[in-house]
Amino acid sequence: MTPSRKMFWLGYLAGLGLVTLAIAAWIGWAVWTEARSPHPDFGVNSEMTAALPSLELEAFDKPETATYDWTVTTLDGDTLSMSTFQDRTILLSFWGTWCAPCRAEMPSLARLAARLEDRDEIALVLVSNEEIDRVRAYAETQPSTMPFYVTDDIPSVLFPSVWPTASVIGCDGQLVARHVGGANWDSVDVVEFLVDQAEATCA
Amino acid sequence: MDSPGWPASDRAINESRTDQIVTPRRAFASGVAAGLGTGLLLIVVWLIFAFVIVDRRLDRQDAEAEASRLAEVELSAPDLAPVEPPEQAPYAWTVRSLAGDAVAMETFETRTVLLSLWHTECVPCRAQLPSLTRLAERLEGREDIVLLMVSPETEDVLHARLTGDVSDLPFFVADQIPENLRPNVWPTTHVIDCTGAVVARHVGGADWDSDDVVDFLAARARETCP
Repeated sequence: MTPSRKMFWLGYLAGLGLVTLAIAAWIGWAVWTEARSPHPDFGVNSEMTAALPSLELEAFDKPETATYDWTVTTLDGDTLSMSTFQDRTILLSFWGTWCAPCRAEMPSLARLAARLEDRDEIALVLVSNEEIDRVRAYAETQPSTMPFYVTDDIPSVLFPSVWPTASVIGCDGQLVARHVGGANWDSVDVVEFLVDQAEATCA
Repeated sequence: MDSPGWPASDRAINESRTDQIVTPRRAFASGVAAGLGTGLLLIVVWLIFAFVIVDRRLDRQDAEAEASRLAEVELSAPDLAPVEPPEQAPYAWTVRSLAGDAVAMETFETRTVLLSLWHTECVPCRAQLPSLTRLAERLEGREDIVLLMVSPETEDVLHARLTGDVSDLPFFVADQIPENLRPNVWPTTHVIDCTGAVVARHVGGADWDSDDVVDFLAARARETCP
């Protein structure tokens, strides 16, 4: 190879390298500004939290059959089949970070989660159909770790007609109660209702 | 110094053509130019691929996913039963149009208001938009009835997300919704007559395109509006 030809290919590589560097710099800049962009505002109106009705869960006269044939994704990105919860009584809440009453009831759900901590037969499952990153950002604002999941796979029988909607599913797969709207979940009554359902249906 | 064996005339020719001689430095420069050119060409090809082919396919997938989500929502007839106990709606609050103009709710004091509180993220809220669009068409020309679509988001978000047939609806945004109208579930729709009374309230998505709804609104307007 003549020296001139060698220099040509060296130059060629340098040119390609420059383009690559430019692209890398652009991507880096985009990622950096994205990371620095402020978190969405997840403010909670304290007067809304105070105004949340206390909750009375009532069992349906005629339970509907729920389905375990759907999946949710944890905030770590793992896909989880709902059949994982098949031998537990589930309090399934459909919520969204965008929904003010959903955010308003979150502290009371956290306290309910604390009350249920030692009860393996009861599972709290908080499902949003949003982008996982938004839910992750919201989870960071929460004082405790909550059982947040995302999915785009909500089955028809459970699909909420309003946000938020919470459903109680027994170990027998029956949808025994449903509550729509934000509520104060931190109550002995709610725990008792869930425990009763678990005792009646779980092995 | 003369190169041996080269006639003087040839040397002169060679020197006059130094610009055509490929020196290593020139070779490097043209290499850089060719490399930059190749790189830019690859970028252009990639951009065309990304935006024209992939983006269009993703858009189509999004549209299909949205359609299947909306198909899950059952739209019932709205609940037009009287609100018990009776409630008064405040007019002392403002909304903003998507153009950014503040509109006082007092503007609507002499009209029966169908106030739909919705959110772009909420599936049943989006599912009922087509029926609200048809209701808006039915109500066109009526001075005594007004439909307001109020969301707690920003103008930018609505501009970005409203596309297609629904973009003609009377959309507004509000930073603060008064306490007794503020929804505890999304969506919530209030009917407020000209006396300021909340005469009906529906929670959840509904099929608003019906004679019952138009008749109900017309009756409220006839009985209470000036």
